[in-house]
Amino acid sequence: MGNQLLIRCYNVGVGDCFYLRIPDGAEQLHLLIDCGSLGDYAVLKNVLAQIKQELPLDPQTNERRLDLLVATHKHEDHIKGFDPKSFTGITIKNIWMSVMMDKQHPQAELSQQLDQAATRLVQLIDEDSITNPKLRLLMGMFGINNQGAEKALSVDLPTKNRIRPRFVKAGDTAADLNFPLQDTKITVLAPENDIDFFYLGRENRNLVDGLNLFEGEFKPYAKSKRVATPNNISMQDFKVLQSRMLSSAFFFANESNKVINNSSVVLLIEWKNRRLLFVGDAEWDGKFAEGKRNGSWNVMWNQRKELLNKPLHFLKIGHHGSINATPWDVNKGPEAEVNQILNAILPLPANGFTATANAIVSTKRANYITIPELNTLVELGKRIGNHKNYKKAFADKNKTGEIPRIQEELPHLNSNQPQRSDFEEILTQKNYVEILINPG
Amino acid sequence: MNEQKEALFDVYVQDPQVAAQNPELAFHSLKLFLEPEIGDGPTSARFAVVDYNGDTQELAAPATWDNQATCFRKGRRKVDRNFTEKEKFQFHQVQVWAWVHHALKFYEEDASLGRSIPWAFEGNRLILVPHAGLGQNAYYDRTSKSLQFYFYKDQEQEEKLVYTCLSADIVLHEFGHAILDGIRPGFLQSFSLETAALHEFMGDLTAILMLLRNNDFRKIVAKEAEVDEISALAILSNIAEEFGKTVMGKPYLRSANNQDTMNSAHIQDTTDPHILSTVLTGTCFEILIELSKMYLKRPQNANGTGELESARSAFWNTIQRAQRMFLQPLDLLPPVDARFKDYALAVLRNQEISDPLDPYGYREVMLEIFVRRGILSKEDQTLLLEPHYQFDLNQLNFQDFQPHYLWSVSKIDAYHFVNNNRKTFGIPFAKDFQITDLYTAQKVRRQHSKMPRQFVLEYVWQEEITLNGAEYGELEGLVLALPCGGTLVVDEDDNLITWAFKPGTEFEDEKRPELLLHGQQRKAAFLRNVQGFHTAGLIGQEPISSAAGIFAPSLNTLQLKELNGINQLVLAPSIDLSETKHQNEQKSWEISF
Repeated sequence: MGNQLLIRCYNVGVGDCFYLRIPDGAEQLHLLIDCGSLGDYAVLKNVLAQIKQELPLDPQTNERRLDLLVATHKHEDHIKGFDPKSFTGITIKNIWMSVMMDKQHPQAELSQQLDQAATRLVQLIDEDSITNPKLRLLMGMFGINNQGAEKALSVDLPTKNRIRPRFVKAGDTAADLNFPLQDTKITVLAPENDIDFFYLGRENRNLVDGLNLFEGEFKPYAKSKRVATPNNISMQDFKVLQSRMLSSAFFFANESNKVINNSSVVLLIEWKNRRLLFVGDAEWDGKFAEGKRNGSWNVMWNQRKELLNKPLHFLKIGHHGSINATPWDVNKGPEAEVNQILNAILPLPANGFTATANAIVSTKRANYITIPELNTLVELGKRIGNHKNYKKAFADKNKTGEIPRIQEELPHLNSNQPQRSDFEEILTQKNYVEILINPG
Repeated sequence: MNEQKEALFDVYVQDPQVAAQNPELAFHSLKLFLEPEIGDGPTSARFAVVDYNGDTQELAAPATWDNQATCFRKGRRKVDRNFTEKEKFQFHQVQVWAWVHHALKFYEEDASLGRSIPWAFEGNRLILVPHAGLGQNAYYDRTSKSLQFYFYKDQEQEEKLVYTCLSADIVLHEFGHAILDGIRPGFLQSFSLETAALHEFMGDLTAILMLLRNNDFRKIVAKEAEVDEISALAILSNIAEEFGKTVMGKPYLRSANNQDTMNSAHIQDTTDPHILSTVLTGTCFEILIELSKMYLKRPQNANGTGELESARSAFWNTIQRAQRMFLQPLDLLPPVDARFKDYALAVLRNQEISDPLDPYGYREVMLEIFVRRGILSKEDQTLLLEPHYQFDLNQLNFQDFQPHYLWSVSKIDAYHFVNNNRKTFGIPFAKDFQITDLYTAQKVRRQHSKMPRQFVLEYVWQEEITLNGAEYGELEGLVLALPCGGTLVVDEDDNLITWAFKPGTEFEDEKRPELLLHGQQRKAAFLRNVQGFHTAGLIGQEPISSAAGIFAPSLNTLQLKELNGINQLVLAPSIDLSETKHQNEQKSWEISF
């Protein structure tokens, strides 16, 4: 077991929390990639307490040692758990964050402005009036809750540990980031340094410029902030009108969200002839083109192909199993860029053979039908070895009745799917799924 | 009785860009009759301007109405073409209001529909939002009873915003959607790209006809026509000039001066109603140009003597005829699922009843163009040219005929009339149909001579179609409504003007097998289209319901909406502000209403 690499995915609801233990030379490295959830903070606190028990004592500080903490991007479901209180008694050696989280990063200036505009607009909306779970989810991404976690990552935890947080970008390696390793190579595949160029796109640049211009034109003439009702239509008609016009706020939020997802830190961990990929919430979008709002997968394929274009031994399935995070377009043939990517990293096994790669998805079926997206999971299930037929697995344990929202699961329950954090907890009573990887 | 007052309101003839390039076509004063109740906003009987910005959730101060001076003001300053930065937004408000007010009157004239036009929503005031927010968009939204105009950054000029509310073409195009929705609300429940395209066509037609009515514009066209026919055509057809130049990077959005046919490769391939609409816009524009040429070659006297008509007079005659020719037929359309062919047949029928002798052969010219464009077939042409009775009520073989005065006053009377004639109208016994509209119209023909008053009755029902088969993906098993119905139009002497009918598959009459066959063809087309729309990712669930309304960052072209337990396909307004299609998002945002 000491020679095996451990990947543990904690069930935190809709969120990510991955703990890795990597044998490296005589040492064992301890990594934490993301710790967030859209659910209750108490769950994260409990998970962090568990992880703490896994960490070795650092004789220098007499605290537990965490070699690397990675925050792939700033969304709540990835960083909510980074409260300094939960890290009491833990010495963190390295903190890596996406370069997009560096508020001073000149090549993310417009993306930051879009994010600020979206945040401002979404926060103007009366949250209670939004009942749709998808939009509440979107609003949650722009809530004020996250600001504490961002500060913890960039100020509080680095100060306490006397380290400089690193805003990482594609091409960086652990060695570049002053984190020397022996048997392990960690390379950042995304995001590219020029966030605005690769992920914002020409169209969104115009949006940001237009927003700034209008601020100047409209503000002096506005009657007053959030006027109650115009005098020439009824209150009810005005309410309906307002509700139909909130779409622009959501549009900005949606666009900004995509930029943030696409600027997730993507880590390629190469260890003893094994290749592991952790992708945060990186998305795909059609085909790469300069000046367009590109998906991170497309950018990686075009800018970092030599590193990406090989089969993996482990994939952390992105964005809780949503359709936009696994590079696979069901409507296109193998020549499509995204399908080339999936065929390269998780090729379909030849007839009669079983795939050897592994994958885990950290997910929960909340009030949102596309997370997880079952067609995507079934396609992944064909390409990995640790797939599971959950219909059988639940039936064997006589727990079929415990499947949440079973009507939505039924169409693909009898198909092989990657291991899911939500189902595994019901089946095993453990709040994590883990995979052990042998050296190659 | 008090004499009706009128006043002049300044508007851009086209838009600020055209104004800058061609000062002759900068501003125009629209003369509007003043209703007794006009107020701040502007607000009038059928419109209310609400200058609300959805992005910032702020209201701009409304233009205030000065009843004494019959003008709008911002503070003490009159809001007109000499506006400064300080009353810029109020000018925008007045410009949108004046244009749509003018356009509504145009539609209601007896040379158009000859009746008052209702809105498709409950209520009688259409809300106009001149500065709705940032985006390259403008749209009609029935749910919020509004026309919303957005603004965006000019991609060519730094530090400049383009306000869609300042483009007459855009305002009139979007207003065309509201008008057609009022005339035929059933078109929104659509399963055919052609029905959506008919909406787009109406938007463009409205913009073109209103522009042609402008005196200054006509003078320029007439002047150009005398020297260069092509440039005159270009001016006419380049609609949405500013919008097109700055957003799409080409000189127009959709040129009416095109040779597209239903068989053109790009038309066959498209899933975009805007693109499809160019066939019909091009057809009508071609008819308009042909008419214009005919007028130009015609001596001024009816007996064929005298000088040829001047270009100016020829254009004016063309425009007047085009108004009657293209707008009056709207009342003859079926209540649901109208196709280009339905419109062409309505145009030809209207020509037949308004000009039965047709001494100049307009009907044949139009028919020829409709056939060449692939909207009508050669067989249609042969059939339409066969000798036939003008007004043959007997072709319907009523079970229980009733003169119009017994059914045209109330919907329940109309219901009884139709119900007593279910077999005549092809309505299955088990279907509880609805009378969706009942009205009367007084239209005019050439030289303002009155046509017999028309009485129009529309009835609809739905057939429930189950989607069986894996080709429907996640829609498999869904029960969808196939809208069916008809429009009956008779004149005051009970002459049959038209019966435009969209049958279903549940009515059989061995004496009229064509009804069932037509219904089966409709059902097959319905299933084919639903499958195609599904594959193209054009169908979305009805977005999001909440007490406060509906929210979504973007909508699919067609929404599934449940009504009384049956799912309907409903055209959605485009509320997405982007024009770029992202391939892994199943949405399309080309329909702008």
